[in-house]
Amino acid sequence: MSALQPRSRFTWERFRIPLLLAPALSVILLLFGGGLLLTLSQSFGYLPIIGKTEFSLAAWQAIFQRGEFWQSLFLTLWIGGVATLTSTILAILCALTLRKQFRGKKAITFLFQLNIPIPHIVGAIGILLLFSQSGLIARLANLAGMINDPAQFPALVNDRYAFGIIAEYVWKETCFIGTIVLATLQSVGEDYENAAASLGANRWQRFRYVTLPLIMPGVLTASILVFAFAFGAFEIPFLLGRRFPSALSVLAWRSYTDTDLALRPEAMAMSLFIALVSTGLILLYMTISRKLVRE
Amino acid sequence: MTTVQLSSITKTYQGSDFAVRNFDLTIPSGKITALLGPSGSGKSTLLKLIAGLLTPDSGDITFDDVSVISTPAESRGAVMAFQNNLVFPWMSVGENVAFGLKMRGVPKKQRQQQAAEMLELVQLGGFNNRKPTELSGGQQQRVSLARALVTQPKVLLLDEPLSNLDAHLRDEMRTLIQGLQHKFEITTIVVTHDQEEAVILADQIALLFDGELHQLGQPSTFYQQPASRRIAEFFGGTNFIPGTLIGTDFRTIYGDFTVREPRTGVSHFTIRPERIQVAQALSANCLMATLVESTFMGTHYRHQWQVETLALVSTSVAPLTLAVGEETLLYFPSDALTCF
Amino acid sequence: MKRFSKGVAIALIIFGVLAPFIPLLIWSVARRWYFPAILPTEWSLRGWSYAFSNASRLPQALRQSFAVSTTASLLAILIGMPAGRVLGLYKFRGKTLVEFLILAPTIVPAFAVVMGIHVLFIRYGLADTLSGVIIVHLIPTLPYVTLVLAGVFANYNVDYESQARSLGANTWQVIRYVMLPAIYPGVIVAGMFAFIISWSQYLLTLMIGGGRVLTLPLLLFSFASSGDNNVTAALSIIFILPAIALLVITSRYLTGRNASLGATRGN
Repeated sequence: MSALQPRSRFTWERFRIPLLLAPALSVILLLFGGGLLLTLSQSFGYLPIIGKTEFSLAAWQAIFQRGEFWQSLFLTLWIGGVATLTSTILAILCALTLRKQFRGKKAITFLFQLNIPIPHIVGAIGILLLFSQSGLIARLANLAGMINDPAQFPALVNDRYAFGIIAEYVWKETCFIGTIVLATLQSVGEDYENAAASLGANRWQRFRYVTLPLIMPGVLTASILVFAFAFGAFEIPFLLGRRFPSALSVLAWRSYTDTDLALRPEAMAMSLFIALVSTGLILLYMTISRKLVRE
Repeated sequence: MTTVQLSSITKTYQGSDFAVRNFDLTIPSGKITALLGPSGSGKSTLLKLIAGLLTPDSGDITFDDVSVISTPAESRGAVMAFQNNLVFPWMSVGENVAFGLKMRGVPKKQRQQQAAEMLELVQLGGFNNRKPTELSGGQQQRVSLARALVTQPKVLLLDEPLSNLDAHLRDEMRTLIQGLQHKFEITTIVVTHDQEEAVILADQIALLFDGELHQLGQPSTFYQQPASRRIAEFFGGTNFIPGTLIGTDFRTIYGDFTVREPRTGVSHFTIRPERIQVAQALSANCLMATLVESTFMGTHYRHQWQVETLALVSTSVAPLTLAVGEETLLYFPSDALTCF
Repeated sequence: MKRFSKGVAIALIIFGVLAPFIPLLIWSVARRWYFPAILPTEWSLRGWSYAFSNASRLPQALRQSFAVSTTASLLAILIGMPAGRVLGLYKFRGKTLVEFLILAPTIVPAFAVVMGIHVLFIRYGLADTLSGVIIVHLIPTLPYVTLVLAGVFANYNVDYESQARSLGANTWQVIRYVMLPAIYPGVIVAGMFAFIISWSQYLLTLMIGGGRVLTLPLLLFSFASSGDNNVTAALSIIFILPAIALLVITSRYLTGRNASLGATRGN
């Protein structure tokens, strides 16, 4: 019997995958997972190691009853939605322009990717110096005789409609989505479009039925990433936004740093709310990219 | 039924030599014409020029004497089936075949029905709702063909239609293409680098080297009367014997040969391997040769011979009764000799 | 006409990308530049000389920024490479879950995590220290490095390792002479992305560093809110130099397609 059934020998081979995953996963689980759990437990006012052993839903109830929370949520969704939609459309237009042959294409494609690694803070400062009421655009408007005084220039920074914040996101994320679309277009080439043209599709039909389905996977997944980022980002609305209502992340941060320590659980609850929305978006992203890979 | 005429077509790509230069060709209506040539010969450029996917630098293209130079690809009626099929993976098979009809605004019911009928014709009946990724390469190729044919094009353009197929599928596809071409009497242009593909598919072959037309004719003429050594080599010729032609007497350092017709300015003659025979008795057009190697090729035998410094190849259906290293007399029938 | 509109579109793209840099460059060398002047009425290098003086605390910020970002990205590579290899090369049960866990920190804002951790860091003496800041910088950098390296390993032919093994190489030799030379450009790209991500962190450093750890973005933020446009502009330009270096180097190593790898998913 033992001759027929080889005894299973101990080998490191069987544990190779878990062992190789262990360092990264333990750091992520400990820091990220553990951190989220701590935020969660503090949102319930519960943290035994600092002597808080009471469990309460007060913070969660409080934020959902606060009008400011809903206004902030609405503003955050507005910023994320408008910024994502605008940069997606601009990105497609840019990619369609840049895929063609022209002089200096290499240099301009390089330039197009330039601001992907540029930190958002610098973009925000640039937008501030461009769009503030005494900014460069206002001065150009003055030169053109459209205004005589900075106060006549519409408030585009720290404004009601969060124009400045949206402009910064659009400036940076158009290049991000556009680079992905351009990569898709260049790796696929023009063969499918040529085939469609040969079958009788005109310019618009080629875009609608061939180009768009081709770039859709990249556009969709990239847009989800952009929206998720815009939903949770802090620096840009902090620098370019109004104090009231502020983006959700800024509201959470202000509650966290408030001298009234009782607001801390609310800050935790709001941060966790943002984290939950982001998690939902990751799941959406994974479902879409998985489905597309399978197809 | 459309006759395609190319007149003095020149096309240059940015920063490179001519792709095609001053090219003239008439493509007869209702026949299959093959544009044959090695890669870089300009044949694919010609196909795209006819399809309207490229615009020539100069020259004219007419369909039935009407210039189509300024007609864009989508309304030219010359539909191309690409080498790598390019079946749209995000559409079903039925949607792929109906694509051209949809672009022309044919109502949904009607185009679905036409697509289904066309799928029957390419032996893919009932495949309408399949995804292209579920199909084999050969099946995708047939979808691509059906997608082109359903638009009832004036001219059908096929880019290497048999190249990606296994030997047994090749024959099936050839029969299918010829059958459909005959049924619709459609002017068809095939581009290929493979002389065998051109020979079995086409009624007429245009052979291109370096963007220029080198020989035009029926497939058999390329074997029987190649116009140059390069063409003979392209069609698998290996035996080239140098010498001078005086009248019908071709004089070489190995002996003299009689050819059928006198020509001027020639320096070689060639003979296809299957036409060289082992001589029964000494006669004219004979050479003494030593057998170097004899190999069984599956359907025939291939023999390598040496005549002094000259290497020759012949083939035969039956094995030779000769051992390697032995000498024998080889016979070169004068109607098999082509001079150039 | 067609050519003209293409030219206009390309000009708009160039202008759109560069627009925010224009006032930055001008402000960094301006002295007097009041509304409505289009160009400064007086030029000066005050912004730059102040930025580089000790008064601006730039030298300290640069030192600490480099220390934090270099250490965090090296650690991220060290910890992330084995996982990247597994994700790029193997299929296994639970892979989706692992991918989710690694993707999550790239999208969930890190402050939601660090708010919770902060108490523990205070308790264990990690708050207000460089090491504490480095540890929290692993939260955004490690997942990126892992995903980029997973992409690198997905294009790596593992058969070379079997070949080396059959020629007598042991595990260490296989890593040293086969794997690392093959993936080395990808590792550099991953490391540079991690560096940039860490280099740009503001809120995490502020929370855990508590003002004791001063990195460049913190300094930039304080000048930006103080309204000193000359120094802010000069600091901004210094701040983006590593990003430009990254782009130049990655575009030399890889094509434009891969330059966006760090921002896209790795597999």
